Amino acid sequence: MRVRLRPSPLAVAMTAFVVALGVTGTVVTAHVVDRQDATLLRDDTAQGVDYLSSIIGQVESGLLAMGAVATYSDDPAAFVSKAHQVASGITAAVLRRTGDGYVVSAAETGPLLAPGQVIDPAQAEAIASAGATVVATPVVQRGAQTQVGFALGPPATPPGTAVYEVALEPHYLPPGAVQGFSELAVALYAAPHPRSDALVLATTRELPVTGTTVHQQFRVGASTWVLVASARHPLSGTLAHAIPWLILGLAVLIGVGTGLVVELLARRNRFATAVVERRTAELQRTVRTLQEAQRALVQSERLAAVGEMASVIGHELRNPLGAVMNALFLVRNGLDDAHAAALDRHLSLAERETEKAATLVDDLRNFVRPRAPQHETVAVAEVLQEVLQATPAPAGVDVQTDVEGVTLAADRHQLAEVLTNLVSNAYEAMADGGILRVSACIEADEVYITVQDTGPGIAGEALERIFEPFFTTKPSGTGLGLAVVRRIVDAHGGDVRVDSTPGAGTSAQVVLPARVAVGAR
Amino acid sequence: MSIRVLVVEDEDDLRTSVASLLEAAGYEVREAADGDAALRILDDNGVTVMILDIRMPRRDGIAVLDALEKPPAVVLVSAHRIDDELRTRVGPKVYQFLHKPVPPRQLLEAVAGAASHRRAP
Repeated sequence: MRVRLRPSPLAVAMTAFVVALGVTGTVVTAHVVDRQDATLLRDDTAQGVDYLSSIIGQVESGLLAMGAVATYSDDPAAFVSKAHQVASGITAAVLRRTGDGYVVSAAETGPLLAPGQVIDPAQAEAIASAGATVVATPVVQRGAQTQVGFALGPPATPPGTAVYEVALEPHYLPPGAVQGFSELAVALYAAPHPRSDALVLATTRELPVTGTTVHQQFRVGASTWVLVASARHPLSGTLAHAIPWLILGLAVLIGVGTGLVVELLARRNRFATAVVERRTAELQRTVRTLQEAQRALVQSERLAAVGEMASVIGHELRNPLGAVMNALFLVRNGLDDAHAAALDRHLSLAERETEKAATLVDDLRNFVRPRAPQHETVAVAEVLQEVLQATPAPAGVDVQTDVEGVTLAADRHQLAEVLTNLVSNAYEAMADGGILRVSACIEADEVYITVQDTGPGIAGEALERIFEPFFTTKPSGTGLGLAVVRRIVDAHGGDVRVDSTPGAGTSAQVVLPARVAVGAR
Repeated sequence: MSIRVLVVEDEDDLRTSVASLLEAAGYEVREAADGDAALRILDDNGVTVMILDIRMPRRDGIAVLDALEKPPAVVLVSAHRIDDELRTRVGPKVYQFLHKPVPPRQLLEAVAGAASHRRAP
């Protein structure tokens, strides 16, 4: 069976269907995981903001405490003491208002401010707006550090003063340095929107923060700050992110597997169908052969029965025929001339008819009791010459032969009988003249002998029956000639067929094995 | 002296007609309806030619030939095909084989041939 490389449409469809299901599952799962990630990022960011807000709250309460000390005591030492208490390590100061600006009063702690220092006008402007609610002053970038400040003003402080707290922090903090941000890359800006000059701190060196980011604004006193965050790694877990790809991979595997199985089944099915069709055809051929064999058997049995009956009748007719022939002979010889002349016509008819009957019983004997062929090497040319001599051509018939050099193993007498019958038939078909062609050739161990006439031919219906015993188209035929031919040819393991074109002539062809077949006598 | 011909044939009409034919041709004819009768006639008669049918009741033609050491000139007549085996076996004792029905002229020619064959040696 030829191997088909093109897969069946069903297998392709099944594979495509399963893979499509997998792709859909992958997309949906990826979407769910992304949404989960976004939710987690928002939650983490909100927690970070809460944490920052609580720090701001502590800054505010520290400032309030320092403001209260400044309000109720002029002693700078008391302020410094309080400042150390509420905001250890931070530079804090009481500022005194001078015109548009502020000057650090004696009460100060930390290295960033010194007594008498005039506050930067941009800071001063922000400090001036401070009241009981804490105000963040504009951040100042100092190299890798950011200076942030917070201030409170009256009524939380004495009139004409402000409490100012300032810190210089590195704006890069390693991940984990800030509680709650370990899984996030964050950047905090002292502005409503990310602006590099407003950067307070970041847990990443790669700014601005990229990827899926969350911007969360929150209030710092009167200002609005923004925290920008993105996830350092999948918040829902690496496994969750791998699941869509796992699904896709599985789907492709299952799809291809399904396709292969379907293809395999389809091929098996095709193969089985082909086998069944082949077997069915073989069976049909066998049945036809058997039917033909049965028909042939029935036919040959019918012929055998006909022949047997004919044999019995023919045999029983021999003696009466002989007696009648003798009697007729005696009558003719016993008549005187006068009577002979008067009765000649009738006597001749009786003699003719008894001779015909005698010929019939002779033919019957040949037909019914065929001799087993006695094989010898026979030259077709020799046998044909004898036959043509014994059966002279009628007037007007031209005889052409082409049989030289063809020899075969056959029964010489039976081959002569075959040729005699075929040649006689041809002659009788050409009563008005014509051409008899006899040719022989040898091909692949078979000898083909063809006897052809230019007579009127045989119509199809009669052509089908010419081998039947007693079937004849001739007024004086016994109908046994071709039946005998077939008997003899069959006994030689050969074949005979007759083709005819009405109006153009008839051709009889005998095919005989050139050598005695194995197993033949 | 006329030539004596023995006609051995079980079918009466045929035998009679053959006898008539031969008598008309000038032969002296003896008739036998079966093999036993034929052997009896052959015992004490100078038969030159015997027309012998093969198939007969009781003793058939072949048995007659087998029983004879020196048969007359025999024209063996059969309704059946005479196969090669039989032809070989009885050939030396038979002048001529003929198939029934035998045309009268052929029969007369055979008898004449047999008679001259018998007288010649």
